[in-house]
Order: sequence, then C-alpha cells, then structure tokens
Amino acid sequence: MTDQPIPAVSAAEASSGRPWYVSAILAVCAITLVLGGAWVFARIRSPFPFYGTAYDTPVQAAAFKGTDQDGRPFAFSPATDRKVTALFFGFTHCPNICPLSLAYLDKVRLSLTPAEQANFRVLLVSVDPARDTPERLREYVTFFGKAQGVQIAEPALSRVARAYGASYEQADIKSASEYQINHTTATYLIDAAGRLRVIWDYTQLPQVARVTADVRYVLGSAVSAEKAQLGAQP
Amino acid sequence: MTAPIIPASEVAANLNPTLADLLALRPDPLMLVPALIVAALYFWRFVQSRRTPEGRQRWPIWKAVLFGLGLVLLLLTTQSRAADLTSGSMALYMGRLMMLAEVVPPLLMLGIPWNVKLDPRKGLGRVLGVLLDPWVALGVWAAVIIFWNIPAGFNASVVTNTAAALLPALYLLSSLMVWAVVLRPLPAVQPATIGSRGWFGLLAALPMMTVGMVWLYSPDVLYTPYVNALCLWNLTPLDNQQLSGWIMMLAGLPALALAFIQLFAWLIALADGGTQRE
Repeated sequence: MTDQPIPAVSAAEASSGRPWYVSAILAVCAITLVLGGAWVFARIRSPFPFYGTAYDTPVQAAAFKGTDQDGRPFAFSPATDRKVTALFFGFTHCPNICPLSLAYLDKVRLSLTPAEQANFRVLLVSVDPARDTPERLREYVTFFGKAQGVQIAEPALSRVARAYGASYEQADIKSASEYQINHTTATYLIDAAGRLRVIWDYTQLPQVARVTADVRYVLGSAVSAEKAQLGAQP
Repeated sequence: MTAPIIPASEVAANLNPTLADLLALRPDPLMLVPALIVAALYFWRFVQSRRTPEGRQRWPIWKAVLFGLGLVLLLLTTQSRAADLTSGSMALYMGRLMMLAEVVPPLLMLGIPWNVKLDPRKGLGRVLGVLLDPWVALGVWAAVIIFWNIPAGFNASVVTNTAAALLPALYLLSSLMVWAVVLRPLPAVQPATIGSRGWFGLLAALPMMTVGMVWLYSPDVLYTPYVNALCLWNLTPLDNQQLSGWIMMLAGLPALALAFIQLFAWLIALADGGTQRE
C-alpha cells in the first residue's frame, strides 16, 4: 500500500497479462501450497503421522484406583506401570459404541507381535458403576478378548473422567436400573512413561492397521526412550 | 465438517455454559498477535489519513468503525472459551467457523479505504493480484471446505492433526480472499467486472448452502463423532446438526444475495447494451 502516485494501469491492462489457464495454474499452485503447508505443520507438530489426534505436548495421564473385573483392588499408575495402555470410558449396557470399541481394540492387540502384546493393554473404565459390577464387567470384557474392566465409585469416577476430558450423563431414564448413558467416545493411548500421546474417536477404530501403527510407534518410542535412559545411566 | 475430537474437559465441567462462559478470555497468541499488529497498522494509517481533506474523504470514519467491529468479532471468536467447548456442540462449532468465514471478512474488507494505490506490476500489488484472482480464491476456498469438511477427510492424519489448530485461520484467510473478490476493495489489482464477481459469488456460496440444506433436512446425524456425544444445553445431536444447518444457511445468505444483486446489475448493464457503465 502506498500513497505515492503510480503510473495509471487500467483494469483491462491489469487483466490482459493473465489468461485463464495461467489463473488456473496459479490456483493449483495455491491449493498445493495450502495443503502442503498443512502437511508440513502436521509433521512439525508430530514427526510420526499419527492416525489419531496427537497431543501437542504429551500430558501425564491421571492415576486412579478402583476395583477390577475380578473384584480385586486395582490401581492404575501410568507413570510406573511401564505398559502402553489404550483406555476408554464406557459401560456394559452400551448398545453400540462400547462393544465396537472393545472389539476393534482387541483386533489391534491381536495384530501386534506377542512381545508387543505383553507391553500393551486395553482398559475399560465403567461410567456406570451402579450396574457394572465386577462380575458383569468380567463377563463383558472377556467376551471381547483380553481387555481389563475397572469399576470406580462416584464421586471419584467423575474426577477421573474429568482428568481425561471424558464426560458422561444418564439419558433415556425409565427406572432406577433402566437407562442409557451418553458419554464421550474417545480412546486414549498412554505411553509406557504414563503420558497421553494420542486420542482416537471410535469412528477411527475400524481402521485397525492404522490404529496398530500408532500403537506400534508409541510402543517403539517407549523402548527407545528406555534404552536412551539406560544408556545415560553411569 | 471436521469433528473436533480433542479432549472435552471443559465440556465435562459445564454442560450449560452461559454467554459469559462462552466469552470468557482464553488467549490464543497465534491469532491474537497478527490481529493486534494488523489493528495497530490500520488505525495508525487511519489517524494519518485524517490530517488531509483528501485523506478524510478517502477513508471515512464508518470504514474504520466497520474494520474495528470486524476485529472485535474476530477477537471474540478466537480469544474466548467458546473455542474449548465446540466438542460438545456442533452448532457452536459451526457458529464459530461461520463467524470467521461470513461475518468478519466482509467487515474487514469494507473497512479498506477507497483508492488504495497499488501497482499491479510490483511487490505487494503483484502478490495481491495473484491472491485475489477469482480462480485462486475459489480454489483455496474449495480446498479448505472439501479437504477439511467432508466425512471422508476424517481418515486423513493431516486432517485430524491440524483441524483444531489450523481450521479457524484457514476459514478466515480463504474467506478474506473470497470476500475480497466479491467486494473488490482494491480495484487497482482486481480487474474483475461486476458480472464475473456475481458468478464467482454464486459459485462460492452454493457448496455451503447445499451442505446447510442437507444438515437441515437430514433425519439422521451424519457425523458419527456427534452421534453419542454429550451435547451442551441439553440439545440432541440431531438438534445440533439441524441448528448447524440453519447457521450455515443464514450465514451464507448475505453472500448469496449479494451475488444475485451483482448478477442482476450485470444483466441490466447487458440489456442496456453498454449505454450505462458500472
């Protein structure tokens, strides 16, 4: 922008130097720049092309305590457990999302090598502690493979859910024991150092190979970090 | 439409946010710093222009008011907690994007003073001549809409990992290009006639209006991340989708109306056989 006088250029003159095909080529270049720029931006944020939504800066996952599907006290200590965990919040009366999530996460687990499987687990935290007793949780999670079910009593459950950014609410209430629960549908991938790395929405889980690639990268990066730590020790 | 699947901790905390909650300050330096720099430059030049009668004529106060209003709305949209609550409301998500695409850009464009002297063969004039080429503007706008908004895009890693951070800025910038073509604030580098601007406006508005219609009349929730989502203000996911359709259509109406006006003006000029000029 300038206030200095410039030689007059008519509209016709300005347009005369650019035929339509030049404009079209410029448009293709602009589109390439926008999409390429987005790709570069994504790679700067995360060198690995995660299928799920990667955390910009890995956040420490919250620890919690509850009761597992065998009725035993369960303590989730992500920073010290040394396992990669796929965690999601659901409930056993869920008609669609939770069964699908468990089924696909088990497919992901099965697509890993035995050595990788030993360092990976799937955790279902029930958002319906009143109906999801340990017995019912055991029956449910074992039906879908080798996930682990955890019951956490209120109000601790709501604190844990909030710490992960999950939420839930009773809906379609017909009686004290007959209702549905609306809940957020994310699965959180926590690395062996206890950091939240990736979120998948349940609609992404059917892409098992791509979810597995995310898990493998997080499993691998955990091993590399551990090796680096051991190497740094005197 | 790209569904926000980022953590919804804010949603979990409050399912009935008030307007004050939505507008509570939440600074986003990536948008804030450029907006403040642009505001400072604009108003500095505006104050300078008030020193001469020619400057006052070229840059009336109402233009500065419109530009200021656009900036205030931009800051309200990008620097408030509403950005954190969109995972619980498709309508809020769409309202925010439409504010950036259909309200802020025309206000900013109308705020540009008349007779800005630019040489289309040099520097900034040359760059703007390319950016405001209707083909380029339409291409970028369509790329943003298609790549980040069709459900198939959910599978692209680059979409899931850039939507929250880039999409508001992309909507704003690509819409600024589109509105600049439609309103033609820089005639020195924008040779388009009123007819071509009308056709351009029609083409640019149609995809958005079509999507809005589909959302409005679809009996099912089309975007699965919202099927079982916990929604703000006790709305169902379908309510949210229909509301989003209304928002998109209403937001697109001014641009569509303007396109028709420009087309009619062009038709009248054609009918007059060139005896009247634009």
